[in-house]
Amino acid sequence: MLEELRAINDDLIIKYKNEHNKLERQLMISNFLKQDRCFFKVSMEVAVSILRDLEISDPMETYLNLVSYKSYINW
Amino acid sequence: MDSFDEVIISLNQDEYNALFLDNNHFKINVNFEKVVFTNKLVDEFMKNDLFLESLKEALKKRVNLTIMLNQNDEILAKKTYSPVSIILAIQTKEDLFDNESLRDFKVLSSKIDFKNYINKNKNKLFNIDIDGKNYDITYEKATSLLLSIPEYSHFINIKGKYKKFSKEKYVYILKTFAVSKKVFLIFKFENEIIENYKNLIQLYDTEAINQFIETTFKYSDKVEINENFKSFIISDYDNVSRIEKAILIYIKLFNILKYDYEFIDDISIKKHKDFSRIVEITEKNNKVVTYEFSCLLAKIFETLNLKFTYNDNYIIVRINKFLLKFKSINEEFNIDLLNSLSLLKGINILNSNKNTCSEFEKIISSIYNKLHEEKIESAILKMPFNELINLYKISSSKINILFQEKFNCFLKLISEVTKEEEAIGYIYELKNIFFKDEDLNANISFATVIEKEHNLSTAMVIITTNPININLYNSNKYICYNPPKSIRIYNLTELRQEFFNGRLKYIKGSKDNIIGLEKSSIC
Repeated sequence: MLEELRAINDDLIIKYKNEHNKLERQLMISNFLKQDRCFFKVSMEVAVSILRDLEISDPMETYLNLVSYKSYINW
Repeated sequence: MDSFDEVIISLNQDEYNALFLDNNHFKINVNFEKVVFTNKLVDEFMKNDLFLESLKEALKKRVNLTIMLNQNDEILAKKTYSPVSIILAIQTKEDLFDNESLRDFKVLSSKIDFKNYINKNKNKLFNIDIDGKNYDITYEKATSLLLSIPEYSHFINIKGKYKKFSKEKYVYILKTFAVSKKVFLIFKFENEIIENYKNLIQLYDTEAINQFIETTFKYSDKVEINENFKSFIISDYDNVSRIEKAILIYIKLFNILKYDYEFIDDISIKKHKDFSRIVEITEKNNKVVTYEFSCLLAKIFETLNLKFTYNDNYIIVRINKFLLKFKSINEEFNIDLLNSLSLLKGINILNSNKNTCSEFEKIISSIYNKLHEEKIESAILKMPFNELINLYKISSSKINILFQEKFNCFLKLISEVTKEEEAIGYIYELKNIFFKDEDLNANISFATVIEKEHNLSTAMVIITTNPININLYNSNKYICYNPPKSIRIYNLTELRQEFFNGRLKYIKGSKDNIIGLEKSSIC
């Protein structure tokens, strides 16, 4: 799932290359997604905000998958 | 009395006053300007041979005619007219004169017709040098935009070349022809043609044409640049225009090289005394003085095949239509060009054309923004995690999730734990990311205790929760979770009973506390 988010982020970096604020946020997310267990290192609010910036249609559902026990032990 | 560039009629005070104190003033529009005449002056040109002959001479020589009030060799007043303006002024008053008087004038009148002039000379060749090449162009070809109004629209809309010349070069030919043949002094043009001509001059900047055809760099043979340093400076700029490349290289060079403030002492003066040192300058050995900076920039511009003029303090370069002055580093001008927004102090545009100046400012602005963004991008991608998250929080809009929603999500997630492996660690990870300090102080608390069952001790997490406040412990719920085996929910009395009967106990040495069931009340 994290790989999918990285691919989405790459696309958004290209999409927003001329929109300074959005581009900066995507670059922050790019750095964030490089970290191991990144979604276990930020609050639920920040994580959901990141997923919303990644233009995920249901950020909460995606978030609960990312921090599920299954994801936790497989990371 | 004539001079080289004008025909002069010299008058005494009475004669001069008689011409210009006439109350019958009238104005006419002539090419670029409005000109004031008096009836008396027009009358003089028709009746006075001196005036008419002077006009003929001015027309022939293609110069202005000046009427001068001269007293004891001192010029007290003067009025200057183009030949075309005088002829047009007479034309407006033609009905005042008889046919006999007009006969001579009719010949002059036909001479201000530009189309007529070009028709008679259409195959005559106009010779012109453009950027080192010599061309012979027919008068007709050189002036087509002054002959036809639709041709102007065609010129504006056409993409690429016009009559085998770039548009700038064609406008240069037209302008040079008009100036050298003084066409606006002796021919009458329609207002629209004049407006079109003015627009062309503004739209197509020809100031750089025939400038800097050759490079002037007197130290070219004496100066060498370190090849690795040169490659480092000019790399990364393959997909930009020539002007952007020159500016980016200047910024890079400027921000790497530092002015040597020790240049005032004898040792340093000796160090910078000759050109042999320049080859040693690199990104590490980066202290320079003004002329060394100029030499390095000049050597790089030579590599880029730019035409320029070297000066110890600056370099003037022509890049297409732009004439740019790149200032060298010195003890006062030694700043980070990118951080100080001073790019325009380092690079001056010398063109006077407003459109070109505004185009240049846009290029500078776009380069500045791009470099600034690159700098920010690079900083973001290298930023430590905590700083990154703090920056993200500032730059994104806040999301608020209610405690109850978070708690429901939390319960859902822990109910999906299927193994004992790392289960308690997982619960505490969720605690850290789901609940803020204010939640942990008011609505939820976590403690790990020991559960004894059939002589077997296992870790159990007790989650104390109360949607109002956990300090109101009589209404708390205690979720006892021994993952993945069981979830039981107790009230305070039931939980206390479990501790009293020894099924549950605190872990020795642990700081964990259960709200309403503190260690001291049990042990």
